[in-house]
Amino acid sequence: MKYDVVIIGAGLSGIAAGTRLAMYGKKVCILEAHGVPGGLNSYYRRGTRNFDVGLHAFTNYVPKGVKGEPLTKLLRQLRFKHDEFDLREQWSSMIQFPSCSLCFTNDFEKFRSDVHFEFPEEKDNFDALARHIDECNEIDLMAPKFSARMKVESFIKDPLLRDMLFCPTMYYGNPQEDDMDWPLFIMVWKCLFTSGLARPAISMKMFIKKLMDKYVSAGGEILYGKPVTKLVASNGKIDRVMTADGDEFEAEQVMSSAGLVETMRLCSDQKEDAYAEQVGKISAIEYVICLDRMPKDLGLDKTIIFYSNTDKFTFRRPEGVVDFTSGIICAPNNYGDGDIMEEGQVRISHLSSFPAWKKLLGAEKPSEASNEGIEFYQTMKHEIESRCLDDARVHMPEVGEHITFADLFTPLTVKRYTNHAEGSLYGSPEKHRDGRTQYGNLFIIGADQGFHGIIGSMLSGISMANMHCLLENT
Amino acid sequence: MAMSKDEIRAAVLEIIEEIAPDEDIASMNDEEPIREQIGLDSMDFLDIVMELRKQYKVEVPEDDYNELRTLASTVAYLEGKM
Repeated sequence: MKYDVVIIGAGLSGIAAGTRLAMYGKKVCILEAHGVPGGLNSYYRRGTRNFDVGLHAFTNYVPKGVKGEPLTKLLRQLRFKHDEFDLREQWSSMIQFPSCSLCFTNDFEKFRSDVHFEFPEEKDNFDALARHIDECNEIDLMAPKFSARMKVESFIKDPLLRDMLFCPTMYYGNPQEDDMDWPLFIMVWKCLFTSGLARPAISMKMFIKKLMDKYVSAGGEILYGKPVTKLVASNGKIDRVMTADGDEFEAEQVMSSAGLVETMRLCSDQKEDAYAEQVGKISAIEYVICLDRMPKDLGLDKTIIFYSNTDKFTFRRPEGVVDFTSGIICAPNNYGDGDIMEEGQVRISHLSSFPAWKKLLGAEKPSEASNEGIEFYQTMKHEIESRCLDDARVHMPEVGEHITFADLFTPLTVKRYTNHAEGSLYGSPEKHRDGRTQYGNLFIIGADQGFHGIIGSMLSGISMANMHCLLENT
Repeated sequence: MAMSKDEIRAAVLEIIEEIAPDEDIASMNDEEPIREQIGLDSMDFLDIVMELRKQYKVEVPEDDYNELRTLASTVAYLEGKM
């Protein structure tokens, strides 16, 4: 089969890229390994419930009519009205450290006044940092790499405030250990603090359906259950795309959302362990608890709490299985009028180590493990679950009596569903902002191109499609 | 048959409305820059060019982009082309 463009993966970046291409007459096909679209922001079913896979929030929220913001750009490029996403704003969120807490809402002034109150010495420094960030263009494709730790240190003198700023920004998108790339820091800062958090009133399943309807009605094709197994390369170009069932696709251009390392390893002239030094090490566990009432009725009225149990915040792959010294607690109910989800739910996340889980299980998947490995894995899961429950009890002392269902996913689960090397959450620390690879007609979209969050991943697909497939021909 | 000035103006407004459905198109001023009135960035601007090609088979070469600065200049530029 012959196409103008073949897209690997029906995640948000793939769907958005495909929609742009189909809108302007390209013959385009998305190849999706799974049976449903959405990628890392998809949904899954357990019993009678649909769960969102990765979603805590849409970041980058701005109200209707605010110009020049990522959300506005995205809506225009895909021809949606603001109202169609029906976004509901967060209540308020918090950064909680042993000696200080800071609140933030979708109004930056609230955050600013909290910082001024808690860190009076840093008032001017914080304002200078905020102004500097405001002046930076976070979606500049040519932005050079720079250490965010060094940059923030040049403004903020108090190490506690610095670490409190890094805790949420790193947790919400940093693929790198210890430090963070400055352009990424700006991007996450803007999407958390200067714009804000929201959730669509409809479920993620319906949201993705809306995007898919747009793609299909523009003329885009999609094939499910088609994992790409090989990109046949010759003379520095991709000739053909092959899927597990032996089908072959020819395309002028290929866009891949599989991740940089993962995409390169599909290329027929690369080694199986190519680009090993670029594998991202950051992964996490997430414990999802369903409740017989709303989190707020049990005492949790924040939308997201980013916390550290030590004033010095560290962000790296833990030595052991899970690092409990810091984490995130999210109540997806705490948006708008609190009625976007019928069932109360709380999600607890911690940094976690893929190699440690793999060692414990003795395999990457339970289906390939020994009975003994599975027993170790299950015992560890139970232990982790009860520790996560302790975290939840800090905010909801009675939570234990109201749980109707719970599910824990580990870095091995992330690997199984996303096929990301070592279950990395945010991909490779090396971003490829112009999307180019060593192959002239193969482009990277999504996390490893370097835009961030749900809105960012869609903008990634859009800008790469524009730059490499639509404008090249004008 | 060639389109009249009014028809061209209506066609261009329709394209702008498709691209920016949340904006108040009716109150646009013909003599002021389109970009500033509804906050079009370069990506949106290129969509106008691409929509003109898709819907009316009109090619606007990059050297002529400046002609699409205001609604009035756009209509003048497109007259006779569509």
